[in-house]
Amino acid sequence: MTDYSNPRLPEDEVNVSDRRPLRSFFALAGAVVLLCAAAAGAIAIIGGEFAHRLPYAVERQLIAPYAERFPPREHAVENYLQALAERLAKGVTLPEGMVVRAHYVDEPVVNAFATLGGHIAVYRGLLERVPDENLLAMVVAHEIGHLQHRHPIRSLGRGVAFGAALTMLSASVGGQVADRVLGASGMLTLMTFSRAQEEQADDTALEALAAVYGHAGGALETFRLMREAARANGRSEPPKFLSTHPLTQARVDRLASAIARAGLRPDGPRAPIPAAVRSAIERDAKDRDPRRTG
Amino acid sequence: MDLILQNFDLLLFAVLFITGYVAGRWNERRHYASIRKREDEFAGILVFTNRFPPPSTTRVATVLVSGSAVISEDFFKGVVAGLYSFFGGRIRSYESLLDRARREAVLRMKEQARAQGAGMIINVKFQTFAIGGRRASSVKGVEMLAYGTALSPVGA
Repeated sequence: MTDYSNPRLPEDEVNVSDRRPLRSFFALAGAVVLLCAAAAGAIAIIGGEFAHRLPYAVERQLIAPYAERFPPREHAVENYLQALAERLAKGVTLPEGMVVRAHYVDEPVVNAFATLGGHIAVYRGLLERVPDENLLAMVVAHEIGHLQHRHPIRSLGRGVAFGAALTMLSASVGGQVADRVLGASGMLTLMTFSRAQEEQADDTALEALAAVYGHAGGALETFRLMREAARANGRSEPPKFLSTHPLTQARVDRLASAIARAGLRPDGPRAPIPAAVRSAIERDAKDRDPRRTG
Repeated sequence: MDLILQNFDLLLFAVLFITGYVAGRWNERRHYASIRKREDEFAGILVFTNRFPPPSTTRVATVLVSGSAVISEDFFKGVVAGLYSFFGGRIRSYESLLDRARREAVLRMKEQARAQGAGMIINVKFQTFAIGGRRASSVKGVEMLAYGTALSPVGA
């Protein structure tokens, strides 16, 4: 029996190859996350494109339960906004069957948004700040531009598809993204548009503005006003209009050159906001915030 | 607080993952230290896969000895193994499980042989059995069974 022996196994065992399990994990997990992100991105793009092909009638059905909660009101400001939106929309070729519905939101936020079903909302905070109708018309026309190109439904399709894709990674993160897109409030206020979409809407807005007033006066001022509002707010909550509509100098410059390129008159006689509308806005402001005077 | 509740599944994953990694590594290091120590201790008991004893062997008594070890994966190893299943290749995170199970099983078999007064085990074979793993969420473990014929000298 002395002829035989079982030698000691070497410390560095050939049967166990993973000396750095954490590194293997990060390499593998990184690859998986990259693949999932690429897949989610692709699904989001497909979702956006697919949503765009959805007939407008279907979009209106989709929004109907929400829209019912905001019926047309007999309010001086809302009537005025509706009339303004209709005047601006005349020069814009909207998708078949789309009717623009303007809403007035009695809140001090400097914001306006376009959402599904041809709905546009303008907040009181914005109305209080515009010096004349032309600036307001620029904002409304911009939102009509979003409607024309059906950006809200694209954004929704993209967001929901992206959220659904993210659930592959984590149910809660994906759910949160989808929830945010669908909007906890029911009204889809936090719809985000890409820079290219904003520019498309700007172009439509310029055309509509020029068609109604004969010049592009107020277009650039609108952006300046928004930026001042942001500065005035300082560190506190920035106007929502800014977070959903990134307001860069590049965008203002682009708009200025677009005005020049289209050969539009840069300015002309301004239309005032009717006195009745002004006083209605002031009344609302006082009702909502009694501390404020004048 | 809301943030914790909303991301509960991520948080749970992180806790399990870190616990799995730390505890798994700690256990594995301890196990390997114990394996090496006992391998030195039992080095005198020889193990062969031959079906017959070496020709020089004198009269011996034979007895069946076996050793079995069941080793569980930890959460970290499971996650890494799951990742390997995307891309293929060696499931490196499970290699140490099988290695530990195999060596532990041999050591237990040797312990049994020593209790029988044997100095040699021939015809050693291994069998393995996967425990759990039918459902994705179940604990996965591996059983390794080593068995052989222990030879103890007669009339010594």
